[in-house]
Amino acid sequence: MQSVIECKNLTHYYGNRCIYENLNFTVQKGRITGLLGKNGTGKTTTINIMNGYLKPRSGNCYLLGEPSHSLSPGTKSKIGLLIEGHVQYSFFNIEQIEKFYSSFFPGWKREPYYELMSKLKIAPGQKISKMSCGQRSQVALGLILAQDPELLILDDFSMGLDPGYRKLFADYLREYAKEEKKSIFITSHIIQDLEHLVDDCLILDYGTVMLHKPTEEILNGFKRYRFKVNNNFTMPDNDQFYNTEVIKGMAETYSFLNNEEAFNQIKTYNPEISGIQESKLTLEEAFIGLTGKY
Amino acid sequence: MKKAFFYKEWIKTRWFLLAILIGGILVEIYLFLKLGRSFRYAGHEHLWDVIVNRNQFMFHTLKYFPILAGLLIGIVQMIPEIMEKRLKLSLHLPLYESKTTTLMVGYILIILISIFIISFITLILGAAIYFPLEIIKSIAITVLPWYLCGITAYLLVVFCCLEPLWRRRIINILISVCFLGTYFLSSFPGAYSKNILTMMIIPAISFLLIYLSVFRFKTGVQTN
Repeated sequence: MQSVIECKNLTHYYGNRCIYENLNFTVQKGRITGLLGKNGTGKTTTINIMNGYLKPRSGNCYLLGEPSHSLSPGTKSKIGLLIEGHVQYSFFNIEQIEKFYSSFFPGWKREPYYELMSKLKIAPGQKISKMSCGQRSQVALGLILAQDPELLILDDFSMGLDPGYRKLFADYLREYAKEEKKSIFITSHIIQDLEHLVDDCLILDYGTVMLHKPTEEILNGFKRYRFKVNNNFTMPDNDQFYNTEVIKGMAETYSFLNNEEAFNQIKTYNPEISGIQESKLTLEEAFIGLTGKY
Repeated sequence: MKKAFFYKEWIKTRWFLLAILIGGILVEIYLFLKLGRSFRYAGHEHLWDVIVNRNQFMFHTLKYFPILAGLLIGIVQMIPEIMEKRLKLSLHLPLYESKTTTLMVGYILIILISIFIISFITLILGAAIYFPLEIIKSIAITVLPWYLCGITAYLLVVFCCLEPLWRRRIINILISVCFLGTYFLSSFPGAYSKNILTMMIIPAISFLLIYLSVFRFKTGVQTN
């Protein structure tokens, strides 16, 4: 499958602080990929490098086959950007901003933009600076839809939005991406918004890609296990169980192993365990399971 | 695309450009009313003596109009671009970044120079009613550096605003003050008559410095 984003050996430091070294990942065409990670793991750094507004210390990032820091005008027109906070030219009104952008993109489709505006009952003469954050997010989304890009890069789309607008944004985006077979790379600090939106999850941990898997595989395969243990129980370091905790004789761990495999494996560490309970997880719970609470 | 760019800058700056134009007209109306009053009350002979023998310049009030116009329009154009890093939107438009920058700056330069030309011609035509050609030439050569200063001021505001790091921005402001200071070294009429070409080099350098700030913004020094 053709890749639309390719990051090769990305290394970046802020001063002496290493954000990551030799980060590698690719995003396939037609997929919606969510970038997840705790604060400080380099999500914004990655987005900035991708958008061409940050030069990594070493390594390369390619968007639609071109280096992200020197995109040709043709490639730029195929990439829709949503800047954190749904930033747009606030001195324009609804009609003026559409008129402005339409001159730059040959395949401009004004219908989805005005359709979204009429759904929200936003008058054409309304100035963007006088809109609520939710309304501004829809203007930004409408403009990206009208641009009709091949690849959409959306940085923290849920920032400042109430649940209704977040749902509206996510639903609209998913419907559009599936219908038009678009590739989307998205971040959000509210992981539950991504659960029904993204096809793949790319989870960053400090300095590395922790996991890059289809969302379905995570939701179906990654489980939480709870079982009774004695107070001396410790889980040896291994790559099959994540973030094991013991509180008052009850252990909690996370794993991609199925119930039987998990039970047998844990039994080798502690033969006295009993009453293993398996729980299916939401994406947010799975994220916490993978990256830890702290 | 050029039209669209001009449209954007027009929407953003139109009221301030109009204010600058009106401001320029008011300054000149004031200057000529003052000049007429001086002719009536002090007499032609006295004024002639003051201008020719004592090298007094009658249009000093105009000195600060171009620099204020340049500074104001630069701030009005650039603040919305740097707030919330909106410049990212402009630089992502399907054009090369250098072209985007040239169009943004070029639009204001065209309008600002047009306003200055109107102001300059009005001044020269008005002065021609009262003064002979030699004095008109002296007026022209005295006020020309002020207009160049206005253009330079605009370009330097852009240079400073687009610089992503505050620490570096302060250095840029200091450089800008030095550049602009060269236009105010002497208020003697025609003091810059032998240096007009040199004074034209400063806006040219200032124009090039803008690309340095854009380059620094693009490479992400704001987050380093």
